[in-house]
Amino acid sequence: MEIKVRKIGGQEQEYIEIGCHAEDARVKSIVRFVKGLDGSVSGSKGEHIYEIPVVDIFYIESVDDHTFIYTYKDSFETNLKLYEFEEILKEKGYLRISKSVILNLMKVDSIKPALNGRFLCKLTNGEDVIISRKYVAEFREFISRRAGA
Amino acid sequence: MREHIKNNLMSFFIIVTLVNIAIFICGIVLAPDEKLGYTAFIVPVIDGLLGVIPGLVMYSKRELTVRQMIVRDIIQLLSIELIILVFTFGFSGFSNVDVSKFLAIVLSVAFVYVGVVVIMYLLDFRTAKKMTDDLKAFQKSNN
Repeated sequence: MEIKVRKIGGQEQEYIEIGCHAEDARVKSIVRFVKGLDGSVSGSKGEHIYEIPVVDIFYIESVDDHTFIYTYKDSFETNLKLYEFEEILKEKGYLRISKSVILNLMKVDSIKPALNGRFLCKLTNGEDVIISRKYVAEFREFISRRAGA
Repeated sequence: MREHIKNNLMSFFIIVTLVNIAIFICGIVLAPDEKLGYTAFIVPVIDGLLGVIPGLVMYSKRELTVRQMIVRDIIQLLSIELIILVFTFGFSGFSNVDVSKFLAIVLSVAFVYVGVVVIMYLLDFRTAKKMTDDLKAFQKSNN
């Protein structure tokens, strides 16, 4: 696939156009990725597809090869993989807190110790998610650096 | 792995301190007139080393469930009890074991074990408070 980047004037709206023979899975994946960078991600619930603003997401979880997006009280399935979300959302205040969860730090109310060196994040919707041992050091380093920034 | 070694090192120093306290209390109660030699100073260090061995051996990279962790902690406590009792009475082949001394050691090990868990929890609690404060600052700066 050839990639062209063309600079446009400041008064024109930025856009991305994909020239393709068919709107296959690869093209759809590119579209989802770009939408994520732009502030929303697609998720399905039943037969409907929704655009979910990144700021409304509480956390994203991978369960048995399926990825789910959790908002205040809803959940949506998505085709993007967790590592793709990690790439898209790393500059938007999201952080990996375990092998299967990426957390929106803006939705955390408080942190408490759990057993065995793990920590429990209480979210603003009352849900709890666990920061696993492996990710605790990275989490501490990230928020202490960003808190001082 | 690095975190695990750091935690075990911390456990070691907490155990050494608590064993000193346990020896002091047991000594006052069971043998107030006994005089100890210089070798007594090394006992808490040896107990500390013996006490962290089960934790090092039973390290799991897997994230354990709460139930698995409780089971592991019970096995760990029993292993430490066994190791310390063998270390204390094993050299004499468990002959002429003083029951009060035996019970004092069993209770002391349990006291030290619970003490280590509580102190580690309090340290984690302090860490969690710092993390929450940093998080609030992060959220404020991003709002």
